[in-house]
Amino acid sequence: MGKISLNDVRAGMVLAADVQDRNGRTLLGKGIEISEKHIRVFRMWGITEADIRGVAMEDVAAQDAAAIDPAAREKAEEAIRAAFRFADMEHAGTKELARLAVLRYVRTMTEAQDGHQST
Amino acid sequence: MDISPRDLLKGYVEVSSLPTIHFRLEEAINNPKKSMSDIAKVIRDDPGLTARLLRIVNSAFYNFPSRVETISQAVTIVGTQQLSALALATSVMKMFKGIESHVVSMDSFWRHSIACGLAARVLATMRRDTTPERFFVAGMLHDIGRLVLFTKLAAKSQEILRRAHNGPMLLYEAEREALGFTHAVIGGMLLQIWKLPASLEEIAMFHHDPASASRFPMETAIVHLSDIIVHAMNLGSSGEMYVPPLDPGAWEKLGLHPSALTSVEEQVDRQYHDALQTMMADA
Repeated sequence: MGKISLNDVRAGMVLAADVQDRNGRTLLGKGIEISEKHIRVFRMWGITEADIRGVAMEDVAAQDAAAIDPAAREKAEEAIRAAFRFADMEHAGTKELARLAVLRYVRTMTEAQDGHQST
Repeated sequence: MDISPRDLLKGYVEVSSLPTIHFRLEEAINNPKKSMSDIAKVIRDDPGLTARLLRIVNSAFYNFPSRVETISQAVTIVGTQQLSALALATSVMKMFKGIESHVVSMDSFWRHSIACGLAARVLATMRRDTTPERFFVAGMLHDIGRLVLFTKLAAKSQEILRRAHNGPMLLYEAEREALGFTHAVIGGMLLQIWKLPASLEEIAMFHHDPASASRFPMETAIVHLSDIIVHAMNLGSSGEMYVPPLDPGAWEKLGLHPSALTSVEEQVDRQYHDALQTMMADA
């Protein structure tokens, strides 16, 4: 299914491939169910992503997108499209940077609003 | 009137104060007869540098569990090469202190530069490179050519920014159209004039064209991607309004999975404010 960010890995998910540290040493084998403790250990070893059975990056992206208010998302997507106008949006790396940029834009907008309301 | 990069850089040849400390440090590091304490002494002879380095070493940049009180400690913990790279980074910033630009805010310029340095350092660490500070400096200096353009050709730079805005087009394309060369060439040449390491020169020269970097392709690919990441994160700006296009070859070379980008951005975010504070405090 492909790798997802460790941030999106939850206890109970099952590894579709071994998780290896930067030296190629296996920390946890394929087929094992992940616990909270495993996630903490991964973090300690600088693991940034994992291959999870039945979960793809696209699922996580869809979930993130669904959690945002549609009007805010549209506004953010428009701004990010403009900023990325000279970038190749078909490229997987660029696409992911643009996706993160949209989330970031929404976060900044929300924070600005909250800050405004509290003053 | 045609301007050549050489003409633009004339005034900068005399500004040789920057590398002095850098060269004294490098000399001490590369001299097998010099000890760690000799190297620490070179740094201690410059109280400003000493203070700046201690501040960096004690910041979120390193997140050491206990305070590093002296340069000797810093040399032992951080390493001489790493400390030398950091010394270079802060010296360049200090050197450009007081430069006013009506073209782009200096604050914004250095935010972009520091963020790019942080991203390059994170990417280098992920690749298990043992000299991440080298990448920090390279990222910090990648757009240094813009400072030359903004100060030496202020009016022309305004015009180039307008041209990019109206195009719309990428700023470096507008530079090429208007001048026949880009800030990348100016930056590379400046670093060469300053006799800084050839890797820094090549990275600055080819950060928008990493496929042309023949001697340091990996280093150049890292800074190329870092520049794009921090543009996407919208952390400061050196004048460019758009996210520069990613070179697919550079991306392949780094072997990064897209899902790792979240972690790169998080690490940059975590260090960003502290790095700004420590680097810009008296720079």
